[in-house]
Amino acid sequence: MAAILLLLPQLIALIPTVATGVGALINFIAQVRTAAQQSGEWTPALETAFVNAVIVKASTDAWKTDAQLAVGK
Amino acid sequence: MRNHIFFFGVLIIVGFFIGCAALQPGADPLIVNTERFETLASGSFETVVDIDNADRGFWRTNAPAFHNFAEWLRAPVPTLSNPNEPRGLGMILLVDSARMAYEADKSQSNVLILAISAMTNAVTQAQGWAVIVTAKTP
Repeated sequence: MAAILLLLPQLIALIPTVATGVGALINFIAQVRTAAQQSGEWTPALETAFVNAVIVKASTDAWKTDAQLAVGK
Repeated sequence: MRNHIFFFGVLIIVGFFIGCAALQPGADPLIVNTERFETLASGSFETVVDIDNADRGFWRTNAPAFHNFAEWLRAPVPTLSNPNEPRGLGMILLVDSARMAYEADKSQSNVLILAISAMTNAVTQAQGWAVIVTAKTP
């Protein structure tokens, strides 16, 4: 688990650069988080990074309303 | 590009090792179920907005109710971390913050259960739409 947690910040940093599969990546991180929280290894810094990742996800076109997309064009 | 392939390779390998994490003795079932539900909600909402986003004009014309539901999920709502969070993600963040409050103070279970029940309807509806729009007509 410790090795995975070492990799996690890099995986979270990847999120803004990946065009497809962002959802799968975030779901994977959520699975790691579930396991790490049970063992008490999930830190507040990782939680902040995870929440920020969800916000990054919100900036993709799929999560923009029709009106927001029209403004962006 | 090679970095992406490398990281996804690592991701898949790591997934094999942690895919079936056992429930730790003493783990709170409410917290574990909440985390499962958050993952389920994230996948369900994302499926709906991704399908709709693939061809918004088509869905707007041929299945306006589905498109309206996707738009409802996308509508901006204020959360603690973002004043314009899409509603679907905002609901997940709300449940997540209720879960953390419950972890810190076990007397907050009613707040957590209330947050989950509010999201349950949206998740059920999202799953229903996903089945409807992906099913082949006979």
